[in-house]
Amino acid sequence: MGKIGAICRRELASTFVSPTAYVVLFAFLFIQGVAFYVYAKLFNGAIPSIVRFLFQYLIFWLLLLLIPPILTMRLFAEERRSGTFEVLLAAPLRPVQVVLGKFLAVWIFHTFVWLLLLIHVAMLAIFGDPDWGVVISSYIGIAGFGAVLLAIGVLASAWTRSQVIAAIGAFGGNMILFLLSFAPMLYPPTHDDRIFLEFVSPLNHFQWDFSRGMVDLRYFVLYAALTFLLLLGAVRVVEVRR
Amino acid sequence: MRGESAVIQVTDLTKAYGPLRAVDGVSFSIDRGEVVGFLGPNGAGKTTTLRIIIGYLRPDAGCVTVGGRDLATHSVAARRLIGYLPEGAPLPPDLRVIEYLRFRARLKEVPPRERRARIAEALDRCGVADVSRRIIGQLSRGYRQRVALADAVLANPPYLILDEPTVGLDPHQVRQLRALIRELGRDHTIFLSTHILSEVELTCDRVVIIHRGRIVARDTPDALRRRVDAAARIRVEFSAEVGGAAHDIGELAGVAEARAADGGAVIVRAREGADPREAIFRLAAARGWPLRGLAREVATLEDAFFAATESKGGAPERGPSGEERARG
Repeated sequence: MGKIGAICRRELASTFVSPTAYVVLFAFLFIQGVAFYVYAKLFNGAIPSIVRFLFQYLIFWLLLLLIPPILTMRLFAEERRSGTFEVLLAAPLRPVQVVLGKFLAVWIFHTFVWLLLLIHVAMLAIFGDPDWGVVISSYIGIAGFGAVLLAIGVLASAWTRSQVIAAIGAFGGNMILFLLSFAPMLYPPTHDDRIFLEFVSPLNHFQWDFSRGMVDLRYFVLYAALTFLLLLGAVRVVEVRR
Repeated sequence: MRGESAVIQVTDLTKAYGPLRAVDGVSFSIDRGEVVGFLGPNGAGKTTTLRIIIGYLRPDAGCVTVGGRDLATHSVAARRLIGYLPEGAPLPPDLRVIEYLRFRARLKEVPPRERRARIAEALDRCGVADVSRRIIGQLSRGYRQRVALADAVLANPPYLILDEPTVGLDPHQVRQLRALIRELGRDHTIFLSTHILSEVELTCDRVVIIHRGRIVARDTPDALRRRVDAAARIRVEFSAEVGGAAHDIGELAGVAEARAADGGAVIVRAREGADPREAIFRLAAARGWPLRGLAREVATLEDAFFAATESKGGAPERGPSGEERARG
């Protein structure tokens, strides 16, 4: 446990001295700021609608799918390229500790980035009474589904020494997962496969559950299982590809 | 002779990158307290062998025990005993020296209460205490090398594995680092790779020589030097062609062989322990030969060891191409 913590802390320290982190933070705040302004105008200050849009509209998805690859691309690819990966693995630790430490670090940073959205929610709280249940359930969703997206990035970064390939691979994986949300439309309404696909559709999770203040535990079992499998894959890749 | 007291035992190690056998049936052992040099030209398989010993690469065949622990089954336990300095000393450029060593101390299970003292000692021993607050990416090559060495000795492991520790340093830094390695050799078992013969003479008790993935010799540096000296040549230059000079020089005592080379020069191989340069000078003076130069060309490791292997192997290739292959 101590070694996972050590790796996590070292990654977070690296993150906060890297320009990438600040570019991500700036872009996030800028885009969300513009979006917030537009939503506020569009809905003429109707707080429930603004909150729903903050946590489920196009901009939300764009950022949710785009940020994880940027955060994860560096993790292993950079260490492979510079040769520090060899030094890291020469220490008395197991690949699983390396993978978990690095995953935990990006997950914490990713959650931190999204927490900045609370600035806008806080503004709404000044002028009215936003539904905190919706906000909290949305954050639980971001933390859970975000873990899956980040795990895809961890796996992609473990695979290659090129950060560009790691980022593109991760984004591709994220897109596939997201586009799965549209697969139910290919089936008639009561088809068994459609019901299953609707259940695993991340778009549905946010649209019908998290943005209404509901947290369905089954989704989190799904997220946890996917994250586990992806990280397990990353551990295997670290063990084999050297 | 060895075996019982061996702390690092390498047996029949084989590792291939595609069709290239980078390491091919390598066996040797290192005893407690020894400083052993691992000598070979670039691309001979040194780095690959070291990477297997530190548990980074898995061998295709063969086995390694470190401190009696089999690397295949007790990798983490074996790695606790090893401090490793990789070739080129890769370090994260974004951390401060002290931050990096704190991180490494946690990974290497240095107890929290001892951490501060152990880091201070490593910084001090490797002469990097004055840059402990600097960001690693801004340090010079020599400092980075020593920071990496400070990391290797951080947890005070009994065995140190150093891969080309002096490559890329200036002569002053090289001298400092060799002195440091000798000092560390007093209480550590050290296995260091190099392609520089004089480095082995200056720092090692014993030397293992590898070429094209195979061990070609195990020797002491003195015996190695004798062998290399025996391969030394004397180049005798004349300003004009002298007929029969090679034959006459060949008659001298102390000369094993003399043959004419281009430009009227004569290449002389001396008998073991002999230096016939004076005799050649007197002969030239007596005969009135227009002697212009009389130089002893220091033999390289390749001359002493690898010429035979290479001619046997066919393709006379060496140099940087091999290095790249070994890195995979």
